[in-house]
Amino acid sequence: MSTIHEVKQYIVETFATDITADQLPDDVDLLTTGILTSVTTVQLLGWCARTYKIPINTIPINPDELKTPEGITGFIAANRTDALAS
Amino acid sequence: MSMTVTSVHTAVTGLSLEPGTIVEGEDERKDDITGREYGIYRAAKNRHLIDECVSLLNRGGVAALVPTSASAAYVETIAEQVEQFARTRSTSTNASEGGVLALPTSGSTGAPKLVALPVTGLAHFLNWGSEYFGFEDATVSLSLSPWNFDVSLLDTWAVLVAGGTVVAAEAARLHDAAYLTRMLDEYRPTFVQVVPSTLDALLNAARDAEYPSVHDVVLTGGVVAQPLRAAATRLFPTATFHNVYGATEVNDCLIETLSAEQFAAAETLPIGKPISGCEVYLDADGDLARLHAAEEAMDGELLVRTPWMALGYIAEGTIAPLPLTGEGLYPMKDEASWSSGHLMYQGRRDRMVKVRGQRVNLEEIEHCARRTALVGMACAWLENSGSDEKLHLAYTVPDHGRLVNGFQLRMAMSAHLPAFAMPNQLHAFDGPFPLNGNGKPDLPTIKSHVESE
Repeated sequence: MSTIHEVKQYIVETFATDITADQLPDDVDLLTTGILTSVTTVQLLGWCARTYKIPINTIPINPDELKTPEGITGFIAANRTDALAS
Repeated sequence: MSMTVTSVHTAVTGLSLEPGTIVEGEDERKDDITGREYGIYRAAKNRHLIDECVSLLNRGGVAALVPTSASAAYVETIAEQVEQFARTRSTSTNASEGGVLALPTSGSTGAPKLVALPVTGLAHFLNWGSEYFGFEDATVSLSLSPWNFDVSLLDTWAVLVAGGTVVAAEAARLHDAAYLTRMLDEYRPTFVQVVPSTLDALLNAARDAEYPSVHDVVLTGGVVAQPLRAAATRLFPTATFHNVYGATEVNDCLIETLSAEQFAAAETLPIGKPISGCEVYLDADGDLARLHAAEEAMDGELLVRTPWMALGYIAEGTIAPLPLTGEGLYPMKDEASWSSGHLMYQGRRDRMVKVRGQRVNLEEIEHCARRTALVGMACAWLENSGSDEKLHLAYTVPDHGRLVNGFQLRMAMSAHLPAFAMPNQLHAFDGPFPLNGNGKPDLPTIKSHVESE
């Protein structure tokens, strides 16, 4: 499964059970559609840290990057330290 | 059948019902309350019961109307309150002030209360309704609400006062399309009063039919989205439409009468102009202005005084007064804005919630959902779950439409709502919402349905 699909899957299973991962466009604004809030964005960030071993306490985080599935995927790609990190 | 009842208390202005008719109602009650001081009515509308109720009221008694769906415990509580109240009155001089009709509020904004309406005010209201809508013996009213709901005072009692006919639909069968279309086809009503849920039911039942026999359609009890209003004008192509605003405690107080074109086209409807004898004010942070005299635009809480206001609430054997202001006005707990001669509804004050520090009116969320035309009815609530707050929105399938997925609805709503007011959890209902005894969406049942998903 691609990272962006993993991200979408986590989002719909955790925050928006009324939609499916396939219905979620890559560039949808997750905040303006109510799928994420300031609180659940922090929860998402924690999931990113655990799943992709991202050192969120030591890297700069731009909340604007976390507004869309593709933005979150880019954030993961740039900061992951797990086995798949390039 | 004439029901002009002579009151034993001659000082009282009594109710006088001409020989109108109720069709479709069934009388299954066996006991006889002749000679009693009070009556608790849990039944479908029928002429016999209304006549008996009028007789009781004209004798200075107390008649309480409760939903047919009410639990035994609910009826018992009401009965205790009414019995205690009636006995207290009979030992004082209060009964000489006339009978009292007790109607429970819907409870949609809190615990139900038993509102005490005096016969004198009731008679005044019925005369207004009968005159405003020109009720006569040829009037046929399709009544879609139970008689414990205050809207029945207009579509049933005021019609009977003029000698008209009431077609009393059974509340439990409002989602039976064949039943509703039979009502419309067989009786050809001239007057129909709807709340949003009953308009929804009529539109679903009638599909593309037209009923030109209907002269007047009254919409009350909530906001209906423009596409549904447009569909209503196709269903009743020759009707005049009236948007009526009120509450059980003050009864109807504002009315906006519109042509079919105006009713169909307006994005939102004005809530109306004061009915004759009613006074309506806006309280903008302590600055009180009487409407229709005010020249400047303003927002604030609606305050009302009507000639048919309730005496108060029946509680613990007496009347607890209405929570009136120092000026004797009843606070409606509704926000409204006044501009260019129009009064526009903004939402319930007690449906304002704080979500992560931002003030959000749940009615605005529901209104926004309906405006998308992707849903039929919508019901929003806030869930506080520990550290987080979530806005929920349940919605039903739109008239003549199909159920949309949550993402389509989110996209449509996000064009109109700020991010903080967007619902976080959406719940699609493929059937109608469960309704409470007054025909309004039953939020506790909707929430428990969602929680059991």
